[in-house]
Amino acid sequence: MTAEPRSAMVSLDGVRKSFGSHEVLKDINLSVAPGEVCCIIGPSGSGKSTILRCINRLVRIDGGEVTVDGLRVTDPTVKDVDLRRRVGMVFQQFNLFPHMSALRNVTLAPRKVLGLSAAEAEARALSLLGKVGLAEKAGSYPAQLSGGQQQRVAIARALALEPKVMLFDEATSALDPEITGEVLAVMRELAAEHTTMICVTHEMGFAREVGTHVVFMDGGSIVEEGPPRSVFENPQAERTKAFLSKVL
Amino acid sequence: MLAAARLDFSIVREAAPALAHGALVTAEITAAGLAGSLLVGIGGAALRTSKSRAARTAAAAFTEFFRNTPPLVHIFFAYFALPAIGINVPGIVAATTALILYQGAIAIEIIRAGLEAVPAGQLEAADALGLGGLDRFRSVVVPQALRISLPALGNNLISLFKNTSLVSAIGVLDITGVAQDVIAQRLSSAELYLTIGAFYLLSVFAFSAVLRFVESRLARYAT
Repeated sequence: MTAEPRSAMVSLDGVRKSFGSHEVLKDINLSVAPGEVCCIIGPSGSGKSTILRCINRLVRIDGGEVTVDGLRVTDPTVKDVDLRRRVGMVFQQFNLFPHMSALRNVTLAPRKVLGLSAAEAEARALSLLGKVGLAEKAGSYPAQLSGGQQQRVAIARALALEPKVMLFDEATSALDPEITGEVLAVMRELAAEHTTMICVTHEMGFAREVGTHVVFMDGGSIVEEGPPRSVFENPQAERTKAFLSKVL
Repeated sequence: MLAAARLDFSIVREAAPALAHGALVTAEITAAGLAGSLLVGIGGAALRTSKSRAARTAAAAFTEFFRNTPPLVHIFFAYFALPAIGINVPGIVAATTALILYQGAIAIEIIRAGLEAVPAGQLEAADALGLGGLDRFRSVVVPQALRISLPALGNNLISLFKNTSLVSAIGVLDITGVAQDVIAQRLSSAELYLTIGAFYLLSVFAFSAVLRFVESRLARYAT
């Protein structure tokens, strides 16, 4: 599958990345259309998280090209801030700012990055906290919230810049199994609203039901990709079959 | 009891207004020293952890020089040696500046350790939100680094407070300077040294209580 920069929201063309002598990404090609929910699955250390980090420049690629909403990530004239206001990111460990209330976690970037007034940012934040079911927790600090609540605040925080694409880096992996549901429910809702999403996940049920496109990675390469039905029910590559037989 | 019977605290009562004024001067130098040393500490720690090798080296040299030389020498230098090269400042300004540099050098190391203890995930989250370097530093990194550094900064404040007594060496009338003046006139020292000793001790207890309170309040929001 070749990237089509004109219609793709995010495209990766021949992306390579090494950390020291370890090649984490080997010639990655991937295209995500607007409204698509792309789920990246695969064993630990296969380079899944690095792909997400290349998209918002948390990691600089060694070769190839990444394009986000028409912006070339390798173009030095493209400012970090212009790229990152288009890309929301949710982390495995939430990474909420512990010294700020849930509300301030969500208002910080709209005020500093978009220049919204305190009142405008607060209105937007309260509406987003309501969307993730936490309007009444606006004044709480992260340490006073459960893991699932913290991750929902983190999703609201990432949405506050009204990004074009949302990246989820194992958003439920740090949560107790009985809590993952509340975070996945928010992610399902975003998918239903046709938010463009790229999710690195170990939640095969989510990938299968919510994903519009599934990518299986191993050893820094994309081994297999396609609609969830074909990847999960009719995998072609031996490595995909072996992986799925262990996790399903 | 015999020794106590020979003490005459009426001298302290007579000197009370002067001592109170001296205590005020001590408080002023402490307040200015605290604010100044925190600014030096934050600025120096930012340089110490910056990408520029020159900035890191300069900050490290500053730190090593000031924290490894006696603050009394800094005070003497600022007061007696600077005028020789044309810089004339009042004694209290020279002494306070010297203390700011000494305690600031220690604060640089304390805050640097705090900055380095802020988890990498916090920086990534700030980056991913598009926060620029200054906003990231101001809104995300510094508040967390200061919280981590608070106990050590509290000790630095107590050290600063005690070191303000050194300003009396160049004739500044802080509480120690006032006490020495009275002693010189009245040739009676034990009562006055006991009195200002009690002043320093009780003040440090008060600082410690406030610091413990602030730490316990902050701990409620710690992760």
